[in-house]
Amino acid sequence: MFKIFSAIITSLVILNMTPAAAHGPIFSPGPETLYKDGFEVQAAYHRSKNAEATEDELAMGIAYGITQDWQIEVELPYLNINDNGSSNNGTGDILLETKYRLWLNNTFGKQDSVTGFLQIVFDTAKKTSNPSLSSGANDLIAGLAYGQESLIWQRWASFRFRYNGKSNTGVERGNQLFADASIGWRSEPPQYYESDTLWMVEFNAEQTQRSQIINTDLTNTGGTELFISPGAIWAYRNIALKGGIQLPIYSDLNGTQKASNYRLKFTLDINY
Amino acid sequence: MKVLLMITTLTIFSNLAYAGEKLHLMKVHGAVCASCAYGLEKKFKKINGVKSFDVNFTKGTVSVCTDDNINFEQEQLTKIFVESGYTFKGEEIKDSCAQQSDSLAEKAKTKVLIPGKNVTITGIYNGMCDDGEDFYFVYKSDVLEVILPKQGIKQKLTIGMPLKVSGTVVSHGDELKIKATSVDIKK
Repeated sequence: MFKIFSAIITSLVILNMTPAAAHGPIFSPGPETLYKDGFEVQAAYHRSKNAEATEDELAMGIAYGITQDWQIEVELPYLNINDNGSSNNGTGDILLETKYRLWLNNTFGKQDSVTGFLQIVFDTAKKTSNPSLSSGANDLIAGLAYGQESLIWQRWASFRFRYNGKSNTGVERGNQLFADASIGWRSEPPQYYESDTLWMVEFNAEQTQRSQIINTDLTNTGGTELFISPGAIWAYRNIALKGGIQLPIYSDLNGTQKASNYRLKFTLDINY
Repeated sequence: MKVLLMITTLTIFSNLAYAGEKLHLMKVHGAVCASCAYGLEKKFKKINGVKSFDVNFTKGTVSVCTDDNINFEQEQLTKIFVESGYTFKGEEIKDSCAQQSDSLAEKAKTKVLIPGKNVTITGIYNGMCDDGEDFYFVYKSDVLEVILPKQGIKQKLTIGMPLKVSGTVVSHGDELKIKATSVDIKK
């Protein structure tokens, strides 16, 4: 039974993996793609806390622009989980992502775009338990992201579906739906050789289906959470620092699950 | 005499500093953030003879200073902009790179003249046309122009007449357009 619980916990650990985008939202995917032959290196720290568990994640990612519309990325996380006094740490699941810009409309001082993306979360995490770092299955995430960026205001929206594979412990983890909307604002138009600060507020909705084992619903699984997420981006040419906090504003989780207290995320992105 | 010599020397050095260079001023659509435009800088700086690169987001221009013998083909520029995620809208060649970086006054102006801001600007009248019922005040490259409706004209305007225009900035690209709430015409 403990294995089952661990597998479910792990599905929450990797909940917030999002594609790298130096100038997009923090907790949700943005539509930006790298320029052709461009590289982006990303270092990210992510903390998620609820009443029972604290999860810290350090991740390194690298993205490459195959064309101006198509990029690929790989991300490797390192996890540390503390759950009711037990802790475990080690490498997490490797994420492979491809992102393709489906539509782009450039006008004077404004850019609108829509991007589709596909992520595969490979079951590569350290296999020790108590608590487990591994979900015991490969997962698939697919979605669309829209963005309208201008010199002062930015707007983003995205929608994702996460298909969670059946774990090797026999648990069919519930699939997940994510919907996000974000607004960004800077006080004045950017200057190329000056730093640029953008303030953002995101609204993130997450809906998780109940997990099952042998076609039986698990009571303490699934539910809905809504977050408000203030954050900021500081950028200077090819370097961007992003940081934000996700705060729950609504929670309807099945059974006796504890709602999230907060989630933090900081990233450093460098393009070259 | 010493003062005169010093001024002459400075002028010569000033001209020499820009000798053998030219400025490629390119219009761009879609450029909205510095970190996103880095791809353009990277691609232009790979070209031999390119000396410096700048983007003016408010004006929607990319300026590239090169050796005098460097010429870009339209197809080459279109490819560079497309591969960086932007749209190339045309090129203008200037004899000197001196105007690549905006002056401090120009930077201050572009920070103020953003759409939606209320401003008051003093300038010289440069023409007139009928453009509906609103007052519009337009400048192009530091030449000021006022557009007024027929009904609103109480003062006959003559070219070169000083004006003071207050209103809301409508747009600011190659030209500034202000929806004016008042136009003070000085005789």
